[in-house]
Amino acid sequence: MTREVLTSKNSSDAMDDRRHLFPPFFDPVDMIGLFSSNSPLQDVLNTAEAYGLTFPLLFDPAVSLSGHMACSDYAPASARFGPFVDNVIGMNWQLPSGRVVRIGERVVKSTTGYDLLRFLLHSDGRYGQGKDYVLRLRPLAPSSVQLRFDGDATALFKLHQRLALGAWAHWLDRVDEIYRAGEAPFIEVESRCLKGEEELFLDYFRSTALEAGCRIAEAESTPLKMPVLSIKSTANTVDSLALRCCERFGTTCRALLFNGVVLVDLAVGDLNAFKQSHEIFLNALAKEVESYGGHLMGAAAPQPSVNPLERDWSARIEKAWGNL
Amino acid sequence: MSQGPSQTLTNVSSAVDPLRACVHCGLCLEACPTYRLTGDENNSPRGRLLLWRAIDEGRLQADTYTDFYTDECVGCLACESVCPADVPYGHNLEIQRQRQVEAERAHLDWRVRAAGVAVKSPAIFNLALAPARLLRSLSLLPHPMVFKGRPALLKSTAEYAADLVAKFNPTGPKVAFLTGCLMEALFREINFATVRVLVENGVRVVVPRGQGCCGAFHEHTGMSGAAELSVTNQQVFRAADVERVVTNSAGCGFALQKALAGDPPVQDVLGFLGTLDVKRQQEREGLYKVYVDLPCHLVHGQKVDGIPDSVLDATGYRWELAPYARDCCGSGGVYNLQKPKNARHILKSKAAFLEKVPKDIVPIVATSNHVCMMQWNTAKTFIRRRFEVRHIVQLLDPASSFDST
Amino acid sequence: MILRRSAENLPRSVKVIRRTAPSCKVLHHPSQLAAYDCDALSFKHFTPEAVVIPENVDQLVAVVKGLAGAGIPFQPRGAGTSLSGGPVAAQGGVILHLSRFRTIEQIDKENRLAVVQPGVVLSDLEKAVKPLGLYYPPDPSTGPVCTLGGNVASNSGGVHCFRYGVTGNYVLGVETLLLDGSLVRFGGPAGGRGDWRDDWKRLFIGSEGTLGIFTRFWLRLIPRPEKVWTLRATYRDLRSASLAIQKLATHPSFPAAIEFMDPRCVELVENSSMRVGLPKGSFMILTEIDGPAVLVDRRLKSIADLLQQCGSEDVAFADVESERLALWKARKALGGLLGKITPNFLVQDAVIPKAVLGEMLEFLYQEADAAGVGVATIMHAGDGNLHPNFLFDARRPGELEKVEKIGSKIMLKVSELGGTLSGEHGIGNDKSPYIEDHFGPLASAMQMAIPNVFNPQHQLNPLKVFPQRKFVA
Repeated sequence: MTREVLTSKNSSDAMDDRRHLFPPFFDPVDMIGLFSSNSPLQDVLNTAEAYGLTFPLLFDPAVSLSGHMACSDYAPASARFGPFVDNVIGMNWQLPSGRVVRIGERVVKSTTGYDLLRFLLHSDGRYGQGKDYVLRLRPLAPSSVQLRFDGDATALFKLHQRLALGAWAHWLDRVDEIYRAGEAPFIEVESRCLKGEEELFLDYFRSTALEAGCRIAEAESTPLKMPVLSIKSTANTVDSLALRCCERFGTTCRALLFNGVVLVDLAVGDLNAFKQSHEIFLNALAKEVESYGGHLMGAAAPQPSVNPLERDWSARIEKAWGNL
Repeated sequence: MSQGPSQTLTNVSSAVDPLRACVHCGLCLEACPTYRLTGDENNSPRGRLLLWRAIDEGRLQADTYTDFYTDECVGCLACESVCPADVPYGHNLEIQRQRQVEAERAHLDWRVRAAGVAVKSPAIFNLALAPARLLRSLSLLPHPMVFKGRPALLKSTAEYAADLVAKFNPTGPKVAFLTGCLMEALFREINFATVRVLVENGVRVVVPRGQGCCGAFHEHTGMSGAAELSVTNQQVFRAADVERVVTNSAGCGFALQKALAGDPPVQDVLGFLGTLDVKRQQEREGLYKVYVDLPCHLVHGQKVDGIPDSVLDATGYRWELAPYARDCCGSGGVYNLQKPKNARHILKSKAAFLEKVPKDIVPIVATSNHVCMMQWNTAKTFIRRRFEVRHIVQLLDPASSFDST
Repeated sequence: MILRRSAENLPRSVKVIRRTAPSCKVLHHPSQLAAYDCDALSFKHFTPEAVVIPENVDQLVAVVKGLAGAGIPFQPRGAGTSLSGGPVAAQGGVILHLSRFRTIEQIDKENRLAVVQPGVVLSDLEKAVKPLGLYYPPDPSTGPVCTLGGNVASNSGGVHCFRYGVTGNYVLGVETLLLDGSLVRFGGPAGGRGDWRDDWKRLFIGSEGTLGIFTRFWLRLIPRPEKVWTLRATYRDLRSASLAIQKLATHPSFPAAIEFMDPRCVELVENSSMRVGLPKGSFMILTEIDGPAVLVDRRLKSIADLLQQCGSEDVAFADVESERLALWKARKALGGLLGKITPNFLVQDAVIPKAVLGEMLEFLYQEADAAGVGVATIMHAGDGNLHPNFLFDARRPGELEKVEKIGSKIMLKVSELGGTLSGEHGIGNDKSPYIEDHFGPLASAMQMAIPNVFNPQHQLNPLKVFPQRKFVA
């Protein structure tokens, strides 16, 4: 088939378009379903819950998935379930021309063609926008253990290393170090588990805290807010980065210890003022983390710089897709 | 729903011929020393099989290049051990090498050709190498492959075994011993040690007269003569009225196994000792530590798991398997003569661990094949520390202690 | 010694390479090319004009610049264990064999990452990280030989990716050589976008060597599971087996692997010397739970009960390595058995919604039986990743055509049922004929825009993934 045929917009193509779109569906066996990009995640949770499933990555159930993904690639539960892009397996994507195309699959595992899905999900609206997402849901473990660890910096660092390198790492749903202005940082963990297993988790946490020299407490978790800034960094820089941000911004910073991500809340005031007063710091921070493969994103992140090579690639893709 | 196997599933299973048994999955690649060395897929088991098949089907002409890759193969058979489809690679290799010789395309070193003829007449070979035995026992044979040792000059292993058996009158199982060619001609002290260890463990060991070369040499090189040698050995060993034949050289053992086809069974002497309650040597002082290297033709050829722990424990030495013990040392029969550069590179990566052994320990590389010992001995030209090369049977033999060499 | 042909007779590609990278090893005699004319899809042959085996990135860059400038197609290759016809010279030209790029450059325990060259063998990485208590989960069955370059290029999976994910989930960054000879790095230790606005590494992961040539990866590592329980059960009928798969897959104890073998596989194993005593005619399911010892020990009973409640009368389980391997034996033996009983086999790699397993198998059996072709099916059942193995002899006239015809029918059926063409093997040139139908015209056009940016003439690995990717000099 030639390119001309592929790009013509006749009526049979429109039929084909529809044939290839994701219809509304929910598959509890494969634990996937189609959800509108604008519907609040609470809708997803409600649908999933009826089947004993959940969508674990979220900050605020009232906000849509698009809203979530615009402010961070990672949520606390990414410690266990990976970034948002690994939990969206397909989508109906609206091109700038208005045509809607199916991207991705309705099965989790696929290596068919180029991975446009993850590329587009990270493209910040440059090439169109998601209309519906096929979300990957997870079994909802019926019980959970939630704890807070306090200690000095050395003890918390030891705890971080032990949790991250220990056999239980894969069973921790959230490992966050919380930095608040004027307070000592502390670590919060949450593990979802089966009924009757709570004591096993508690034993593990108690002994690990003891080894690291941390105090342990059952505590309400720090409320999650939609972050204004998300910094993708590495595991061994994430705590010092969170501390720096907390001191600089005077606001709550949450280090996702397993993912190497710092999430920055906006304390009060308006975003523009925040951006202006921290412009130089934010630009320097971006340069710093970019040098080892990280990035900044979210409403407060500076515009990413674009080198000529990338500008050319983007333009060529925009042109090709713009003609569709 | 029809769930049973379709007729066609079993129909396909008509015998697949040896050259076509390979489905090209590639699981042999990393087992192959020459692929790891060169990164050239022609120089891998599945690459060679593909070449041979192409020649067989007339899609390629045998030429310098196909010969080159056939020659490059060490013949370690590590590929057979990892092949999920049990492709008889070694069998294919032997056929190809025979064809090379028949078509006069074999690139055999003159020493190899000469040796191939000489070993067919053991008496002459043994006599011819008497001066070499003498020089060796005087440490005056300065070849990097010739490890230290004091072979008997004139007394044969057969005579020695007869003397010992007469003297100690063992009452255990009766076995025949294959003395080998180079082993008897040059490294006879290992044969003597083997006999001593067997007798000490109550084994009635006989060395049947008239036994010939095992044929491994001819299989390795493709030279003619293996079939005649098989016939000779079948006659000699079947007439010996023994429960099994033991060998102390993994390559010879493997060849003799094929030649005798189980009648009588052939077993490596160390594996055989593992079936006995082998006499334990006294604990050695802490100076030495044994690193056991497993000959390819023991683990990949004869396909035994290794050397029994009980036998290694009985040496009285601290021991562990050498790193990559199942990988080839580069010896490959006469490979280190034919392809010295490759052989050296292969050995270098295997022997590197010796440099890391703590200085207060003298490592002993111990194996059960004389050609591997010769190859390991060449590591003394590049490993800058003391280490020893021994046959494991020597470690079970107090008379072979280091003072006696 | 290798003889050299006189310079006049040399193919143009060899002259170009000799000029631009004089020290680089080049193979070009017909007898040196035979081993490179296919991957593990062994019955389709594409002879390259030459093969280069560069020793280092400098040589690789010189070769690529030379070939790109001279208008000669070329393609990278690792261990060549792929089953999709990916790393073959479909349009002639040169194969860049990256077998010398086998250095593990760094293992950073604190950051839980490894930096590796593309020719590093998967199991060598595993051996290097194991003593540190770390784990690199993607585990294609060719682990002892396949290279990480090939794994990233085809986004390889394996038995344990049901819980742990596939290769792409572990790639933090890639360094890649572009067609113009420039080296770029997407991502890096932090696994983000680095100093790029878009997330380009996503396009390169799984691109099957059609966009650039990988020279380095940053890979994420995780702690090793402390203990594994393997459970095996057989079922008399597919309905019960399917139910067990579905219950396992949705169980909140998150099994690491769920494997399935159909009765034809069971029969094959039981009729061979590798028999393990499975009831003939049964469907076999294997599953593994792993994690902290106290946790998996606690969970064992609920998983064993689940398998039994779905109708199995022979649930077996083990945590000791040798006994676990015994439970795996039938599954692991299968590949070799197929090799032993058939001169050729073609294995497909479709992923289907698990709910339609019955429909798919029925279709498969009908088609294969009608054509008189043997088929034995295994599945990474948790993922719905189906591997039907078609047994045939390519030398018998018409057999390959029959198998390919069934293959194409199955691919269409898979798309129709909502599945996808490949879960972990890649498209190569084996499944490329079906990809446009699968995507539809609009998504296909979007897909094609990607190689059009990085490799507009399709000089790099032509005719792969999309059949219209033909190189025109």
